[in-house]
Amino acid sequence: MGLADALAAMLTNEDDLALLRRDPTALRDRFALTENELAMLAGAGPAGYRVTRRNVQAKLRRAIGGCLPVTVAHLHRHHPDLWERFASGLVRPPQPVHRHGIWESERLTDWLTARDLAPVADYARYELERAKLRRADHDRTGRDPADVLGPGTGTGTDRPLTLSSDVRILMFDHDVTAGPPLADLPVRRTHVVLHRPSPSSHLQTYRVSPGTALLLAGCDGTRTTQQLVACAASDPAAVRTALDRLMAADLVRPA
Amino acid sequence: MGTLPRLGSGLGYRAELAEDIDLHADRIDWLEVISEHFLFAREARERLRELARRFPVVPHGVELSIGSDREPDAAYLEALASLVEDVDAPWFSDHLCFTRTDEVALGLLAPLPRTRQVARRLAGRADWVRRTVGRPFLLENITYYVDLATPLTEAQFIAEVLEHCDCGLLLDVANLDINARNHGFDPLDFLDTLPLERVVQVHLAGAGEEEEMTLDTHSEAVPARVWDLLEEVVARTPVQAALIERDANFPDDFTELLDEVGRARTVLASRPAELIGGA
Repeated sequence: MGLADALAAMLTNEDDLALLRRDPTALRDRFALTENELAMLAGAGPAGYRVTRRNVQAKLRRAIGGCLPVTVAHLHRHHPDLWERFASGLVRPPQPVHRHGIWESERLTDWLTARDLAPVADYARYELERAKLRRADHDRTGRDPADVLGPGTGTGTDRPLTLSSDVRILMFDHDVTAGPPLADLPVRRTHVVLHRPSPSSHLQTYRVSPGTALLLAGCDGTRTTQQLVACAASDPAAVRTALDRLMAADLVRPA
Repeated sequence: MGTLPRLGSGLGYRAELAEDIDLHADRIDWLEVISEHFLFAREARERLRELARRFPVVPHGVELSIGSDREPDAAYLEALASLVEDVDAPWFSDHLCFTRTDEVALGLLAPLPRTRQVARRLAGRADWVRRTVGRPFLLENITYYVDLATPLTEAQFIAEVLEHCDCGLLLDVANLDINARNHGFDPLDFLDTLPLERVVQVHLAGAGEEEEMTLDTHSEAVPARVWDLLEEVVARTPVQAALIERDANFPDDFTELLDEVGRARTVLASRPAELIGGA
C-alpha cells in the first residue's frame, strides 16, 4: 500500500476521495501512507482530482462502448440513471491488454441480467460474444489442428466432429438478430451461431433452428457423423444433409 | 544510448487516418503506432508489417505502467520486444506514470510522487525494460491534472530519472504547454531544468478547453503556443523526430494534418547548423 494505491482509490471511488478532506487520518491509516505522502495528496488542488476522476470515468465508458456500442447507446438514451449508477460504481482490476473493455462489458452484462431489463441484457450478451470473437486471434498461440485440415473434408469420415475454432453457439430469450430498438426485441427463443472464418474475415451471424443448435452442440469432438446421426431424433438423411451443410460453411470440422 | 536515426516529421497512425496515410505516404516521414493495438493481434500485426515496409515505425505504449510497484508483466514485455523487432523500430516509448496498481486499473496516465527515491527506482526499471526489449527506450512526460505537492518539480523529477538511466526523452511539448497553463509554471523554466540533450523525439497536439482545466484531448490543431515551444526546443538541441498526434475530431481535410507534419519538418530543419549531427 502507498500513495499510488490511495490515489487510484480516490480516482475511482467518491467516498475515498471525500475521505481526504473529511478524515485524512483515516485515509492515511487505510493506505499505510507516510505523513509526507498524505501531505502530497492533501496539497493537490480539488479541481485536479475532479478532472482526473471524470477522465477515468470517460475512459471506462469508452472501453465498454467499444465492446457494447448498441447497448450503451440504449442505456445512455433510455436509462441514463441506471447507466450512471453502473459506470460510476465500477472499479476495474488490471487486465491483460487484449482484454481491454471485455471485463467491464462482462460486468455490465451480468449487472443488466440481474435487473428487470431482459431484452437489453440479452442484447448486451450478444454484443459481448461478438466482441470476444472479434478478438479471438489475440488469445491463440498457434494454429488449431482443425485449421490445418481445412474445410470440406466431408462427412464421409468416421472421425469425430468438432466446431471450428471461431464458432460460438448462443441462445437468447429474445430475437437479438432483430436489432435495435432494444426495448422492442421480440420475445422469442432464438439460437444464434457466430462465426469468424479467419482473422481477416467479417463476423458472420446465423439464426439457426433449435435442432441445428443441438446438432452443433453435439459436435464436441467425441462423436462421429454416424454417432451424431444415430443420436438425433430427426430423419437420418436430413441430419446427414445438415452436417454436410455445416461442414461446407466451415462451422464444423473433423476433430 | 548512441546515435539514433533522424526520422523527421511523422504522424500518429490511427485507423481513422489509415486510408489518407496510405494516399499521402510521400508527405509523412514516419509513423508512431500505439503498441497495445498490435501486441497480441495477429491480423493487425500483419498490416503493421506492411506499413513498416513503407515507413519507419515506432511503437508507443500507454500501458507499460513503469511507475507501478509491480514489475511490468513478462508476457507484455515479451510481446513488446517481438513487436519492436518485427517492425525494426529505431526505438520504442512509453510514459513516466502509472496506469494501475495491484487492485485498480485506472485506464489513464496517472502522476507519480515526484521524489528522488521514486525517480531512481523508475530509472532502474526503465533500464531493465530497455535491456529486456533490446532497443533504445524513450520516456515521455505526461499531462497531469492532480498536481501532487511533491518535493521535486516535474522537470526536476524527469531530470533525476534521466540522470540515472540510459534512456532518451520523448518531450511532449503539448503536455508541457497544458501543464504549464493548468499549474501555473513557466515552460521555459521547465526547459531550463531538463537535460535537453536527452530529447530524441517530440510530440505535438492540440488541447481541449474545459471549465476547470485545459485537457490533453489530441482533438484540435496544434496551437501557436506549442509551435513556439517546439521552436524553442529545436533552437536549444537537436531533435531526431517530431510527431503530430490526433485522436479525435479528425479534420475532414487531411491536408490540415499534412500541413502540420510539414510545418514540424520545417522547424526541425531550421535548427542552427552547428547543432546538426545527431543526438
